[in-house]
Amino acid sequence: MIHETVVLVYRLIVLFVLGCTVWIALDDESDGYIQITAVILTIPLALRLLMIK
Amino acid sequence: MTFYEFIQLFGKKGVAVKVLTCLAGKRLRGAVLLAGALSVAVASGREFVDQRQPLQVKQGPGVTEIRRLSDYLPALKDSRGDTEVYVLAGRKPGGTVLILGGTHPNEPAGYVAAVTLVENIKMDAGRMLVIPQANASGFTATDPQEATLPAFKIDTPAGQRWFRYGGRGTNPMDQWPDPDIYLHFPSGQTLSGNQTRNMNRAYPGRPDGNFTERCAYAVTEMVRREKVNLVIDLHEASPEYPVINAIVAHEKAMPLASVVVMNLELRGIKIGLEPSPQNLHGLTHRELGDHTDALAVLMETTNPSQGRLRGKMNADLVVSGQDKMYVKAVGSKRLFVEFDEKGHPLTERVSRHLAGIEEFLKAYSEANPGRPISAVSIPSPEEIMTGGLGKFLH
Repeated sequence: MIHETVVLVYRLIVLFVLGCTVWIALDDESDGYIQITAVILTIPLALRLLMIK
Repeated sequence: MTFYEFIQLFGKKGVAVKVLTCLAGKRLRGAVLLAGALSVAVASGREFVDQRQPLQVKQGPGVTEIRRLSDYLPALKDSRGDTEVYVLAGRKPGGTVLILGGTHPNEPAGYVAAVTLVENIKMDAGRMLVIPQANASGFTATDPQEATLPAFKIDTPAGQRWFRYGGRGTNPMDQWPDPDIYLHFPSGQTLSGNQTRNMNRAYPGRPDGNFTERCAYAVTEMVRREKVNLVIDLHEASPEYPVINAIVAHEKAMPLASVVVMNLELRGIKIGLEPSPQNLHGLTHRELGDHTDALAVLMETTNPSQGRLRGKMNADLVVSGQDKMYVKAVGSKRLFVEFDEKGHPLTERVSRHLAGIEEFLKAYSEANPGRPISAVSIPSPEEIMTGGLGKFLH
């Protein structure tokens, strides 16, 4: 039970960070480098969110 | 279909225009980049998921029953730690031997030897229990920063057959995070934190411990319930590791292992004998020897693909065992094993394991005539070296 709860909390944190990076990637005020950095970050975050890697 | 026709599929042109307007400029660039990132994530995610396919083992003529590790600890059911236990029972009563392969999934000769047994041999007397993937979770991921490959292939008469090359420890997806210091139960021994996922530091395990400890406990419980007399754990080591081409035996198993070493030497197979360290806990030969009635031993062969001094890592290195860097290293006296251009191919390493198992069964049966364990049709080193390993992988 504790394990499942910790995993859920972990995934929520990852989801929050992923949401932030997607927001930055789509933000009108972000320059190209920031957008690309944010986009690259979404790959491992998506894999972590789905508990694939 | 043109892009315009695709847009029209939305029904109202206005909706598509609104979407495109919203994404215009930097937003559109960000959305395109995100779409690219998503496709990369999907492609790499599929590769990672493919690594979780279980090892395909074909049921040989001697297999009488297939059990699961979760039969001995139901908490493992439906987890990646659950794995198949092949039971090969002879017609005559006798003792029971347990063969463990894949305790370390980056040591392929161990689990390929176990698969070869399951697919080829028949028991005459006694029982053989075989677990080809003792740490099944470790087969679902490779070690980070090691540049290891997820699989390698062996040529067989029916075509190429793939085997997984996993990581040394349990997949971090199943057990995380690693503590700073690993405290072994029940000895209290302290080891580096990443050893907490090393199954061969987790014995005897505990039913309410971490994932790796639970897997180890299931094996220990099987040894107890099935009244296993002899445990043989199949491993490999890098050429620069001192305990190599050797048998490591618990003190209870030392007389038996001594006979086996002499018989292997008489067959022309060079092998050493090492006592199981009494102050190093968590290993099969120490803990199963201490906590069960079984005689516990471990066998090591030479695996250049897991060494620090190796050159390029690829599937060929795993199978051929040839590496120029190790040929150089032997000249610098850095190795504990002979190493020339021929290397140490998988065929040689698997045949060493099989010859060792054969000699252990013979020696055990001679020492315990009331509980014989005898197998027929164990492939001999000569058959494997001349006919190839693939001939025995169906």
